[in-house]
Amino acid sequence: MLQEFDPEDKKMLLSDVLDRVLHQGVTITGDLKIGIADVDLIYCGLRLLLTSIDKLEEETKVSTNSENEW
Amino acid sequence: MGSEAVAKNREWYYLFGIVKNGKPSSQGLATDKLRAVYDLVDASDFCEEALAANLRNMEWVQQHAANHQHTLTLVSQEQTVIPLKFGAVFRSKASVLKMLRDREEEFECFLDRFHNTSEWGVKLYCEEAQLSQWLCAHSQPLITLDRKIQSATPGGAFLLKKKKEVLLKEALKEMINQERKRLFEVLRDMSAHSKVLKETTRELTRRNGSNVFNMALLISEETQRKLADFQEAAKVHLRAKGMHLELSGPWPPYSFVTHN
Repeated sequence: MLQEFDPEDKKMLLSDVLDRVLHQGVTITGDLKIGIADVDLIYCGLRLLLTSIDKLEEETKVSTNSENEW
Repeated sequence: MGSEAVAKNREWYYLFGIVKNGKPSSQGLATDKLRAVYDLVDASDFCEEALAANLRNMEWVQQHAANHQHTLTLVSQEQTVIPLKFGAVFRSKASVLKMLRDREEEFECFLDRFHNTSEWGVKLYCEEAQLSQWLCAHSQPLITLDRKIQSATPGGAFLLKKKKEVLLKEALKEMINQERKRLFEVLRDMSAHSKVLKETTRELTRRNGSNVFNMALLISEETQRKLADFQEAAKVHLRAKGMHLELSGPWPPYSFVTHN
């Protein structure tokens, strides 16, 4: 059974796991062609997803602060 | 995790890592000297078409990456393991064994080198607003400037505030660099090997403050205690400046097996 990522595990940030598993360790050329480009795509995809969540939170915070100033 | 299972037609071998072989080589996926840590995966998940789709599915990637890391964590509790990068999939036992034989010397060298060590990550975070406050209270040039601002005319105060912004920015940069340098030297000296890594962007850390320093250390079990003590001792000094140190680990030596 696949291991669920535990967001409460403070020692292992998802970004740390992905950094290591996707980008580090020994590269073995198996029978599949998972190239560096594919791995970078995964990573970019995840960054975009997290960025868009953060941007939404940021915009919500900014509009709330503006209301408070005036 | 498969050890004695025989792959059926549509099951492939996904490799997580390599360890020294302590059993007779006829057992599992092993040569005389090395053993592959593997699991059988469904070919329908890893064939070219399916894989292209799966790699675009963040949940799939997340689960498989977590599984990869979790498997290696379990193995590394028992013995030294060379961690492989995600995606080492083989269609047959024969091709795995060929790979192990072809790279036997380098894997044995890694296993000897990393025996009784583990990788730890050290990250330094900084909340700039808090550090700015600390600097305004402790940096003499900034304190002096603040006094001048208070007694200046409106026009004069405006210009002095602009000057303060510039000074503060430089002071922030200098303080962060100082802490980075201090950390680097202490950590380098306590490790068998160390490596400065790229800072992680805020979107990915989801932590308060920016990650301003990121380092991987290869250390023994005894040094782990030293590292924890160092983190504890540094807490008070760093907290006042809006900084904190975060440790992660133990990891298998991902950052120290640089081989393509």
